[in-house]
Amino acid sequence: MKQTLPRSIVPFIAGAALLITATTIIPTVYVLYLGVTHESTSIGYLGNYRRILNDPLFLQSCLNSGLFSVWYATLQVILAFIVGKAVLRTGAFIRSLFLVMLVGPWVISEMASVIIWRWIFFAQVGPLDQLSAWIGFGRLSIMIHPNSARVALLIAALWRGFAFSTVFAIGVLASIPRILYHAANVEDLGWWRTFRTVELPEIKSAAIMMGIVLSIQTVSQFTLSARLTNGGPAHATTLISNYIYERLITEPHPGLSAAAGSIVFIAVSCFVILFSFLGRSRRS
Amino acid sequence: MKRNAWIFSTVLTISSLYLLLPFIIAFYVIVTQRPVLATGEYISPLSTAMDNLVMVFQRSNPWRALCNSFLIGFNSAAIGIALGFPVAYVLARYRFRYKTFLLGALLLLRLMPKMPVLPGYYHIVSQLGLIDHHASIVLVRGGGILFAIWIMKAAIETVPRELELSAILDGYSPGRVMLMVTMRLAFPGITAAFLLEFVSAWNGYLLPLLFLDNPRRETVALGIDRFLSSNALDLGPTMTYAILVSIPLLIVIPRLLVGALSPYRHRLPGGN
Repeated sequence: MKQTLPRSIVPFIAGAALLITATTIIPTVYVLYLGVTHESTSIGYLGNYRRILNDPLFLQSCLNSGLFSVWYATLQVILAFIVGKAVLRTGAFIRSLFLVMLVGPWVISEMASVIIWRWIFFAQVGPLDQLSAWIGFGRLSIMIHPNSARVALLIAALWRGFAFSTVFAIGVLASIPRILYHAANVEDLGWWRTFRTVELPEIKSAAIMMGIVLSIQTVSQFTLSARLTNGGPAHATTLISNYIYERLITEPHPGLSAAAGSIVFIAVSCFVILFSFLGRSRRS
Repeated sequence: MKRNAWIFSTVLTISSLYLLLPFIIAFYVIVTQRPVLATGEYISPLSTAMDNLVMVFQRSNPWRALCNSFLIGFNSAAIGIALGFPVAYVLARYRFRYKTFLLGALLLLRLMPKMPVLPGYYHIVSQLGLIDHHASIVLVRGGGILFAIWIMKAAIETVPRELELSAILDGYSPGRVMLMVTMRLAFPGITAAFLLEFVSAWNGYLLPLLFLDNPRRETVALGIDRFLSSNALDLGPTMTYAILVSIPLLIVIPRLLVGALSPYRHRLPGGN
């Protein structure tokens, strides 16, 4: 018979429960409290929220973060499964070599990747501009225009996250029963029909889950947008994390920062809970 | 079939280029871009790299940044493993009411990004007087415990239950079974969890930026940022600093990670 919580396991989980409460739950409650109390009592308890929601930069950074998350997660999932499929078709040696190569961008410091990509995208003298001029496209100056700066941010972020998503995709693809491929072979299905009828049903839920996790994790993306593009040009790459940090440290308005954090936290929580319920109802 | 092989080779070649080209460009910069204040004539790529390296050590102290990052990474990962392993063991082995709820709650907490909670962390750390202490970063990271629990739970589930039962028949207590039997057999998974948290804590940028002011306490990421701020126009030394402090992990982690994951290699088709 199942017990509510057997006494014997309390010592096993007590330390972790304390740590999780102290480092996750208390700060979360505290940020919600700060949002309604810090600096806002003179203008009403929801003053910080009113000011934040009337700030065009907050709305723009939310929009930037949303777009960045969607593009990043979509492209990362597609790339990961394409490359994962290619990796599984190669021999053991090339596969091991590729996996070692994959680890590189993930292992180096995010600031180191900022230095490298800053130079690659550097206007006029950077390798990208020199290459495009050599081909005959002229100098792209990718960091100067808002839309191309967003693309630059995306390219650097995809490079950093390539390892995690590809390893995950390889795991998912490797778990597809080989017999299904043999059956498709016997039926003489082409690669497209094999993908549609064998692979897609097997990887769909994992790919959706991976996309959701990636898009949620992207909310914390800070370093690349803060140091690679400096949030510019014209706040085109200012993400919500940069906005919260600026309000907390640079200006500083801790109450506004906490209010912005609370709004994002509540939005992400709703998103996560909604998807977990949808997932559960689909499974049932 | 041959056409497919050609497509897959092209995909692998392009993705390898995408992964490697930034590193190649970085090394090219190190061996070609001399420091702005370098004296003497250009001799060879190696001498340029040496000039850059000398300039890095003249203007900063990368060893200190490496030591600080190591301390933060090690402590953070050690706390995560020490406190997370018993929870992972309970979740993998025990049956109790609300277990599904607990698993769901842990997953939700794991999914939640820490960024929106940053103002809360900052206020709490300030009030505790932990600004400029490495402990603030280790505590806020919480040892990456939520991630470590999931990885270790998966590793424990691969350990045959019969071995634990035979240890219980020999008179082992539950704690002793966990430490002497399960922990040993799930060691590759524990190593993987340790390494993932170690790398994440080592490379962290936002928390050191927020909590550390004193240059003596700077981490690798903060060191690169400060070097960039004071030597923005001197590309050679800046790139050298960035790659120099990344080399330890670039050499050590792939080997350790491949070693830690090798027991699970048989799950891949064609794996031995």
